[in-house]
Amino acid sequence: MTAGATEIEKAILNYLVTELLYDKDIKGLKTSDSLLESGTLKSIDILQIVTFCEETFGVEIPDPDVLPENFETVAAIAQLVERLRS
Amino acid sequence: MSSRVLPDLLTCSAERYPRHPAIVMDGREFTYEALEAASNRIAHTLLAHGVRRGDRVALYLPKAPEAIAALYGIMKAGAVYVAVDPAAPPQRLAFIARDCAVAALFTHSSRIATLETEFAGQAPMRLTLLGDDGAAPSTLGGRPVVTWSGLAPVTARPDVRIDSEDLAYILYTSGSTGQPKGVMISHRASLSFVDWAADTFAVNHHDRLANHAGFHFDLSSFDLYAAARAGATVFPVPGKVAPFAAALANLWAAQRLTIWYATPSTLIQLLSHGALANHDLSSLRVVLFAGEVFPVKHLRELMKLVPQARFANLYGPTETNVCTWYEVEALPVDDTPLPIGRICPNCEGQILDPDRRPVPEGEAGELWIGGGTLMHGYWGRPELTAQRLCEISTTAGRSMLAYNTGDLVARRPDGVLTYLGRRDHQVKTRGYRVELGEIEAVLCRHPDIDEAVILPIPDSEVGNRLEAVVVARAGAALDVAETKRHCAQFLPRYMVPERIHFQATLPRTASDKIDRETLLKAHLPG
Repeated sequence: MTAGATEIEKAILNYLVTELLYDKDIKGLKTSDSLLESGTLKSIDILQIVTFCEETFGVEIPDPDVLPENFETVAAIAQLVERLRS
Repeated sequence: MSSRVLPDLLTCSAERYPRHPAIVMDGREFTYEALEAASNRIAHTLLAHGVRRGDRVALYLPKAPEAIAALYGIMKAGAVYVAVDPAAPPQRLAFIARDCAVAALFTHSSRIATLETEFAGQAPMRLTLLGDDGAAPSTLGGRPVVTWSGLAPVTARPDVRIDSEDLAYILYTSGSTGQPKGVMISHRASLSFVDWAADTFAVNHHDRLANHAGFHFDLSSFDLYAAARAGATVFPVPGKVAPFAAALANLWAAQRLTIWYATPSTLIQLLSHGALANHDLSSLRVVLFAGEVFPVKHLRELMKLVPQARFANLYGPTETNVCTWYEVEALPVDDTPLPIGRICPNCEGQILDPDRRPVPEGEAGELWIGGGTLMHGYWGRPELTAQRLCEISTTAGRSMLAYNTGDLVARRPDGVLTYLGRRDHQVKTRGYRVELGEIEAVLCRHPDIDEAVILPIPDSEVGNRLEAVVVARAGAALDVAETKRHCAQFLPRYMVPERIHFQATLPRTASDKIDRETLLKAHLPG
């Protein structure tokens, strides 16, 4: 995990590593790594990330915000969550 | 006409419409002229390195115009393309590459580092080509690596004899014994489908076709080749956009597409999360879907949003490509499932009982398909081919080579076929066909797993969700993440079970087989 990661980033990283990116080298996943480059995440995985964030951080992520630019990296997802929280 | 082959579609359109866009993706445009030239350079490069007619060439790169050029280039060299899911693990590519002894690999510079160990010492490999100019080693497995700009400079199509009965491509599908099997498709079989589909849906030069399916999936044969036949434009969906319904809806609406062909899972995602009602879809004239059952309640919603478009349900396993079709004119009010329709005119079908006798009208039997689109067989598996491809009698009493789809269907009095299910352990998930046994075999390969069963949990959006029930070796410290990671090493992602349940034992039937029904009932939601 990345040093200096926010609590939200850490929770997302932990979720990805234990639930979705099980085929990744876990220790190497950084908050700035592209989650989409390899093409392994399918629509169903994205929906699971959305559900996880909604349940864990108490936000509602509207469909029009579920876009590649908001899910490109762990940092981007965390920024989206923070924006929706405020 | 007998020697007509798939790349002729491109060559003819390049002569008629040289400046017309053949491919538009990520803001880049490939004209027919450019696609023809690029694919010819690829063919010359393969030939110069000794790739010969009938050799297999694997394709393992993310969707891009260069990948489409590669498909044509491989075929123009007389070789057979083997498209592997770019999201599949390198081990799966390696298995497929070994299984059909590929002579070359077409990939991307970003992937080559993960492939060195998989390809080292592979005897028939002659070269690796790259669809880009990124930094890459100069050899893979001791064989040269050729970058995109290093392709042979000759842009005229090489003079290679190709027969319509030659193989065009091999599509690997899930195999019940734990390894995927390669379905061999000839130029003749692919063209039989392409000609029928392009005529039936009147694909023309002005059409703009979506390409959502991967090239390892037979849905793509329509997008690519029906478009090339008509000189139309194909719009491949970038890998980064594909999983995002809202982004896909934005893209498809902005591209003013006229034809969509996708799995019901994809279309339902668009419907549920793509805000389709906010988009102008007035350009859309044909919506085709295949690969799984489209629940009528979702289809009704989609048809309301695009009232001007024709809708058709296409049916057919990889072994026969599309062999029946049903044009949706009116939807059943009671939400009974859509029929799979009538046998396409280029195919022949019979509904037979287990003794291969025709069943009476209205009764369930297995659908056997012969005719124009029939596969050549399974690569390197003559015994399996003989099991599934058999001579049967047609209604007229003639003998015909046909494929047993394993799908149970019944014929209505009006000749329309309805789909009833299957007798074996094959299911559909997100449009992909999966043999549960293949996943179970992979699970049991793990040293800490004694037994494993995959349960298909029916789901109205994706067909089936796959869950695993695993009996771990006594005392083993096996967890969900490790189990999934193990699966992901050998299987494409859609085959990795979403949930893993650990149990001490599995229920048994009286004959001491695993009681799948009881297990399934225990794990059904609600």
